[in-house]
Amino acid sequence: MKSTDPKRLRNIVAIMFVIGLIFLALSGILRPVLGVVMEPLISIQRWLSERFMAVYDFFSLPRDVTDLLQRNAQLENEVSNLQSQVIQLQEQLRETEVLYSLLDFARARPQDQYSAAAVIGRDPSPFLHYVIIDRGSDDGIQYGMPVVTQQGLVGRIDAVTSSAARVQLITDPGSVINVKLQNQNEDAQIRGSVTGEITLEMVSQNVSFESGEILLTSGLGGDYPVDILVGQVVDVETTENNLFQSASVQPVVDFDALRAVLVIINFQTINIQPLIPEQS
Amino acid sequence: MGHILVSIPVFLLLSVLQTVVVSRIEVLSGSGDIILLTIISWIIIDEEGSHIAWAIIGGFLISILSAMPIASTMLTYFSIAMIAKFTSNVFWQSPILALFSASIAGTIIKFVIEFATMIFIDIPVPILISITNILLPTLLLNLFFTMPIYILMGDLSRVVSPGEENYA
Repeated sequence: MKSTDPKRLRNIVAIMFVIGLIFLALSGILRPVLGVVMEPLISIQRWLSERFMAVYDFFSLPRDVTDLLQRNAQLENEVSNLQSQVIQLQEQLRETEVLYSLLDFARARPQDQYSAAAVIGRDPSPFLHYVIIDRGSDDGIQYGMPVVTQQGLVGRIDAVTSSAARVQLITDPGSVINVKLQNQNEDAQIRGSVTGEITLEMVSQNVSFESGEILLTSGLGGDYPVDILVGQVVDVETTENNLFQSASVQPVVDFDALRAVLVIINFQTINIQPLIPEQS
Repeated sequence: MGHILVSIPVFLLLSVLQTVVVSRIEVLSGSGDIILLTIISWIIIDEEGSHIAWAIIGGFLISILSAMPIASTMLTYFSIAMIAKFTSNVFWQSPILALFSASIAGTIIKFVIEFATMIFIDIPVPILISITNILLPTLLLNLFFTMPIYILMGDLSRVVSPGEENYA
């Protein structure tokens, strides 16, 4: 019988021992023992890891900060772009609202034909109240055509080029418009001024009217269509010595915020000048 | 000649700025006039004597945009050019003094001519209201815009005439 090799026997015992340890570990019997052994190791590992990460951060953090700064700048740029887009969209929305309002006004007066125009400038002289619009004779605009918004009367075309026109506002000191008092059915005139205020003139002393009276175009003189809203009386001035009463008028159109207008292109102004007898 | 040619694009740009931006910046009923200030600044900076041409070009462009009669506008800017040249000669040692003197005098002259024009074309304009609501605010705004326009014209002058150092 062949004798067992001691070296081989030692290997078999070692393998059996390892297998036994594995079985013991898997069965959970060695857990308290492993805990006692591993605890100091883990503490050492934690301490070393913390120190290592501190050193690692020391060398790597500046690069991260740079990355973050770049990323932050990118995001800020994106935010700026988005904000500008929001502003543009809000602007478009406002323009759309204005155009819808103008469209509603145009639908309410189907007898008139309109050409929409944007206000692109103001008269350089502070004495005059004129605006420049971006529609001209190429778009059918002619001298004398009335200009309105969804709120009411703006003025009339004063000068035309092929692609632009100048509009005399009703607040201009040279503007005189025939109107009627809605409730009284009485004719009168409104006149602008250098300060932009509008005054109601030529109201007979027999007429009794108060603040809040609505003014509409009367159509007399042939310069404007009938029944376009002009403004509202705010302050009546009655002096017994005067032939006529006068009043301050609040226009319905906000001329400071005038952005878009409608030109009534099918209205034919009537020149009554030849019918007026010459004064000797 | 180069200075005169330069004035055309400059005034075109300024006319647009005037009608779109400056005329909307109102104090009471007054608004600034950057064309007036440009003519004055250029005359004080430039010594080539192109002030008449600048006044004519500026006045012509404004008269296209404005409802004010062309004769009135041309006379206004021509008078302003003369005043600027005069103050430039009187205060030749102090361009800033000449600039502000010409701006004040030019604004008053413009007001007087436009007021007279309104009376002439039979548009009633109350004098006291015009002074308080138009002249004084316009004067304030013009003085406010004077230095920026002068600096811009100085830069333009250096671009047009790199060798010259007229701008003080």
